[in-house]
Amino acid sequence: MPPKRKQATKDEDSDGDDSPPQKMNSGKTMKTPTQYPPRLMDPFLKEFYSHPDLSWSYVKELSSRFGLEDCSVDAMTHHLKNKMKKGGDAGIWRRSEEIRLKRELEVLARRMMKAPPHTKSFTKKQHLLLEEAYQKKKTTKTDFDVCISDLKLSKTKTGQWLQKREATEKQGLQNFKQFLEDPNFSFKSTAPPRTKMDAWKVPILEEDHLKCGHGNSSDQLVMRKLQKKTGESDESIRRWKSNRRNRIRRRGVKQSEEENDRSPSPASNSSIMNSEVGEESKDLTNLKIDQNSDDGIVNVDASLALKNCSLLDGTRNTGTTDDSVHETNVDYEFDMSDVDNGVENIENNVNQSDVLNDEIPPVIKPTQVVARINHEKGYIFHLVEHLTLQNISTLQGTNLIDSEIIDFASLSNIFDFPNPEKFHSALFLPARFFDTLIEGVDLKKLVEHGIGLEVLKWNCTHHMFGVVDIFYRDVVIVPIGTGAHYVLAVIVKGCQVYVFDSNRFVGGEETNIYFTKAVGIILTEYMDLVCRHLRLDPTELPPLVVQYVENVPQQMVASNDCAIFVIFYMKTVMLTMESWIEWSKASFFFEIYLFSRISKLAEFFFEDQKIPYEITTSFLQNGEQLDWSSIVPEELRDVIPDRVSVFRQIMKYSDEEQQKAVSSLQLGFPMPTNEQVSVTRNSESSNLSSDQIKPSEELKSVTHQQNDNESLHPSDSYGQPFISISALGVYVSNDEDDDYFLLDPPLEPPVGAQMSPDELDDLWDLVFS
Amino acid sequence: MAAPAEAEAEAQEFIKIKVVSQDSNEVIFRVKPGTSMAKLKNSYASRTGAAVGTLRFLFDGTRLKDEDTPKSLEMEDDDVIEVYQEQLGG
Repeated sequence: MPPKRKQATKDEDSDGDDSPPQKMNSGKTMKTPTQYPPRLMDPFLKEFYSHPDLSWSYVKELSSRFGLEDCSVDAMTHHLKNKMKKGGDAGIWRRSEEIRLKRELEVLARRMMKAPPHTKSFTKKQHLLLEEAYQKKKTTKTDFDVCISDLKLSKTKTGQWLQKREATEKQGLQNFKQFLEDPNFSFKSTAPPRTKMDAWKVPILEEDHLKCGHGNSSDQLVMRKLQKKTGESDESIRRWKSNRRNRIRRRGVKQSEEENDRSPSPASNSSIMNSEVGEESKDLTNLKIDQNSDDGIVNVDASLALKNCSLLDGTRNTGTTDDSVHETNVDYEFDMSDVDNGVENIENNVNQSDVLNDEIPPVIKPTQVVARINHEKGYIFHLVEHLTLQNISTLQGTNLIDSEIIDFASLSNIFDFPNPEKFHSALFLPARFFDTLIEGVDLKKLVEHGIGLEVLKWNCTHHMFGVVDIFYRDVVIVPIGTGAHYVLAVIVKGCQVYVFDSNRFVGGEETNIYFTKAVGIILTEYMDLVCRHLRLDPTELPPLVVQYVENVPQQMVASNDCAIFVIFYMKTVMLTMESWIEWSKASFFFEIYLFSRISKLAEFFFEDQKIPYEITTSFLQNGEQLDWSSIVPEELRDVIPDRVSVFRQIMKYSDEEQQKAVSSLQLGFPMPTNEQVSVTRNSESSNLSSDQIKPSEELKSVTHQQNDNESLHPSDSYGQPFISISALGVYVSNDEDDDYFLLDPPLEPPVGAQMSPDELDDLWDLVFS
Repeated sequence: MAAPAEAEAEAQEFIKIKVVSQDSNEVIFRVKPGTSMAKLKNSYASRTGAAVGTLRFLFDGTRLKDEDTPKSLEMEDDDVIEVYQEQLGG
């Protein structure tokens, strides 16, 4: 064996000279290229991936191929171990491959069976029974409980786990649908009964007190409190006008999140987030909450419910609620004459505890889960998302929005579609993916001097997310959080990156170029790392082309709405790729929202002078100005939609649009018809972009062309689910008796990787034949 | 005689749990199966100097609630909890 290896290294060197490493973007420091064999995958794995129907029957085939009677994963891995021992030295080079294979088999088995993490292995009978149960559930849509009872698994640990998960899944979907549809949705507490250990926590009130709304009490309560604190009459309080200084003060306080945020100014009544209740829960134990009094019923969710000001209700109850709408949306702020004395006096006189007691009764714990969706399908990355009240409460006012909301929106977007399986070629990454990847990287240094790529947290992201195959998917949607701003990046066909920025005019063009560079460099480096992990040749991958999408709706300055816009982009990208260019097709509620923001800002800066509309014509097609009177119905002109209503509205497109989108997705994603799009994979590919979309013909041509130079993909079909991505659940059991633990950091390139492909084939035959 | 035996049995029931953050720093906790996750969260937060509300604890992809216990989550030795920083943007 040793002489063979020497020859192999020589061959490898000659190969390396022939194919130089991929040239990265400017500024990237190239490490010494560790060359891998030009072959992409061994024949076994190639077959494994390219199998059109990756089902349990295929696993059985595999097991029969290994000569195993028991098709459990453990048995297979045990068998593989024996094989390796028999192979002697020949097994060394392949060991990492074996481990990877084991891992993938196991992940596959878990995914097929939806196995809970604590079960080590199923018996063959259990496998078959479970598979039957799931098929029965799919075809006949019977309750899962029935299937489980048929299996007589209900008393086992597995059965209980499955039942429990099923129940939470149902509950979460119901909750979320309710939240979208019903403006008066009340969050029911599903917390378990309290024990002694929970004594120090915030008390949970009964369900009657959790209901949102309570008539129109929120305004009245605000008035009452103001009367109590200031001692003035109703009329004088109503005369308080919105004031610039207080707005500034309010924003500044909110953004800095100081403790002074609990100042007794009435404006903070609706703006104080629930989070503060939970963080300071220890202080709250001293408070006495009068559950029966009106103050105790003051609802934290009143502004969430937005009974009066949601756009939907405006359409239903036309004109009747306009006055109340206006009142609820006005920020109660002090007039200049009253402010300086009044606020200070109040701040001095009122204790913090009193304020807390009055204004934010700890009705619901901020960490309580409101909605929850569970899924284990290949097209989404994260497994379970929770949305807590604290997360939702960031939608209020002009708060900075939580990333969980983006994640949850991307999840529920998919669940809204009638056939979510159509998304198997798309991948939705959570917002925390990019954040963990670039943790500690200085983007400025990276772009200017090329320093910092070594800091990329490959190990950490690998631990947390597994291997993300960016370049195998038709569409990868990556929300990118850069400091205090969200941007959406969409990777099409593994080579073209579109960046949707809702705030791109702030830094000027230079920052955009700078940012595109950074995103390109980081993503290409990440692709290289993935290639290294999968033993692929990164030089064969097409270079990434990052491009800013123009004519995108823009947010207002200091409105902090970027997350809403990211969700909006995500939705539109999913629905139609055409809408990348034709923004006028976007439903008009969003434009109303923009318009309201503009008018608000105009009042703020120019004191009742409206900003000329030309500022935001950029989101209209070709600069054509639409007449607002033609778009906005009369009833809605005074309505100022809130973020929550817009969020709700974004999540609900009409069914027709969804079906259209699904029908287009069935064929794959049509390439955008922008002339600027230049797919650099081939020079021929410029033919792909045409002005008129004829999805069926074009897509066929696209797929054919890609199949022609298909040497870089392990499989010919794009749509197949890729197994090595197992979200957060990659587990490996090295020893039979061991428990499950997370993987080691990525393996070193094996010794045998320096062998020539023919020798590798021979060895493969030696071991597996 | 029964009491010390039970105490010993309880002492043996400690579970080691790793908490891994985004910078791949690890903190190991020894936890009883009955302790609530709120305690673990608080102690981790106080150790790292961050507020509890700004941290997100995930186990097997699910967010940890305060009421959860290692027993209810069916944790075992050397299980890993991931911590993410809260991410806000506007």
